[in-house]
Amino acid sequence: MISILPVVAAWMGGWLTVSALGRPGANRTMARHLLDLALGFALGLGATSTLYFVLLTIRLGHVPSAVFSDLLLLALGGALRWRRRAQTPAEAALPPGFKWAWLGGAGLAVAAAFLIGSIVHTAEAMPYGDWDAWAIWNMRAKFLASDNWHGSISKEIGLRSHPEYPLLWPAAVAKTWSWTGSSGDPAVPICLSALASLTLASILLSGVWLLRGAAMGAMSALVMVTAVSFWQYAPLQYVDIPLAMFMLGSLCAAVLAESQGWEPGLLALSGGLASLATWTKDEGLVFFAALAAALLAAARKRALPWALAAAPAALLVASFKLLVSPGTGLWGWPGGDVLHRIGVILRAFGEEILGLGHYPAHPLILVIVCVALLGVRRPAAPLWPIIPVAALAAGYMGAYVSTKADLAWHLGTSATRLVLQIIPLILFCLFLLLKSPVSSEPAAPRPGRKK
Amino acid sequence: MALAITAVFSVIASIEYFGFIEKLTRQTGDAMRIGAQEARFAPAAGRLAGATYVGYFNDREKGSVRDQAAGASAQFAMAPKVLVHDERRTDVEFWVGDFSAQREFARIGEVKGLKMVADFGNGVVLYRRRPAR
Repeated sequence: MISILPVVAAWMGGWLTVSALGRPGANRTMARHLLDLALGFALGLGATSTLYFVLLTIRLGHVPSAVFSDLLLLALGGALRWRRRAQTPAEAALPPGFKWAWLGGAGLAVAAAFLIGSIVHTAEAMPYGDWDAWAIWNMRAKFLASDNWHGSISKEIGLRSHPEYPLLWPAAVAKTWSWTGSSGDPAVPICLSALASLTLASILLSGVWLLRGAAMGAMSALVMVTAVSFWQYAPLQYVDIPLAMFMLGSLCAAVLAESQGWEPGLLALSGGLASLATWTKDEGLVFFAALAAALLAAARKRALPWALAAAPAALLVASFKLLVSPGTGLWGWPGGDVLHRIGVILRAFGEEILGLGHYPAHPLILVIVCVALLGVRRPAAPLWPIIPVAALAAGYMGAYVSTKADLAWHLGTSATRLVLQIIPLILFCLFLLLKSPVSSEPAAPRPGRKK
Repeated sequence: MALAITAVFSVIASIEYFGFIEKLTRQTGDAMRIGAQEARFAPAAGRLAGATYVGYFNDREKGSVRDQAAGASAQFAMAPKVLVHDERRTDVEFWVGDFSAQREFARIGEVKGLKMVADFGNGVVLYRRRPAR
């Protein structure tokens, strides 16, 4: 158990930083606290992991790099919190209340109990996860937890270990191993994966809750837990769930920033998380570019904090891709009938969506029920968050159209995980556009603390 | 109404998926026996503590799924050492043989220009490249 204690240090640093961002005092509800904790985990894990890798490359050594990266974020978060403590909290409108919202909470509590049980059971039977977990992510983590970090990007480790993939997740695991000298201990990736899964669900729940009320937040998370792929991949230590966590966290922070007049702190948080998505998996690059474009169009000059916060990790990723990564010959013009390929891809994704759940508890059915019973808000807004989600879907299509690998094999080995990456984003956007069930007047804004 | 339906169906799904994943995990489990691979290669990794690059070959059919699986699991077990699969590489001094059955290990090494150094059991054999004459 002691080997997972350093996770708490990174989480605490992230939580201190996140809770100091945004308009102080705004919506200090249970939803905000839950969102701070969830985004704090994402930011803490991602930022310290990225810093750890940078320090490794300048030869600080893996143990000092691990300790320094966590302590630096803790100090930064503490300083930000200290600076914010004296500011007068602003008032903010709270989302509408709904007296039956507890039903959603009860459903989520049951689902969470079964999910945690399932993760524990799978972790006992498969402590090293599935193929990608040990052959790609945890194996590369072993290099990053040693003095031979270059091995993680060496072509010699085999193309199926993807030395060209970004290194956020392996570095996060390696950093935790380095703290306690427990390199190879499967408890660390098991713990981080489980926390990322719970964080993903928590961001969806609390983000929609803050913006549209507790009932809507609960419904969005309840629909997500009916996706069987979420249950399959939560304990398998793949990186698709952490990627979804960063992308959803980034989009959620951006929408919250807009709801507070493009609040610079929340925009910075969004930019930071989006850039961490690019350092997690290549799909994050598409999301990052599309979110940047959408925010530039929607917020214009006010999007500057987003870009500034995104710059460090984005620069790291650009340097890695251009200078260090061994590259891959996977993409290009495969030739043949493009329309036929598009048809094959669409059919495969259709099958994936139909296979998302065990009927009648299927996400698609629940989405149809929610849309039919709740209806769409008039005017339907915000619409701009759909842009990065649609771009991500288009990116998936483009990747499959241009893959040089056997299309059927490529779809068979990855389509389920791509659907899993995008589901939380789709649900977030959808539940923002639906009417909230209301049984009472919105709660009165809370008065702020005085100086 | 929508909330009640989603709550009920998600609870049904949770119970169903818990059983489904448990059954799936019981069937597949740790199919590659990764934990066992770590233990199997540990003596070789310990003996080569200072080496960064170590040669590797196995007795599975080249390019087969079994060859790839054996190579990947050996690389995981031996990391942070980089396993070199190209048997023409003369700059790599130590080689690890990964065998699925008892064979004439010394003879196999000789054919490849390698001298057997140690047989760690479980099909893991350490070789050293013979100096070029």
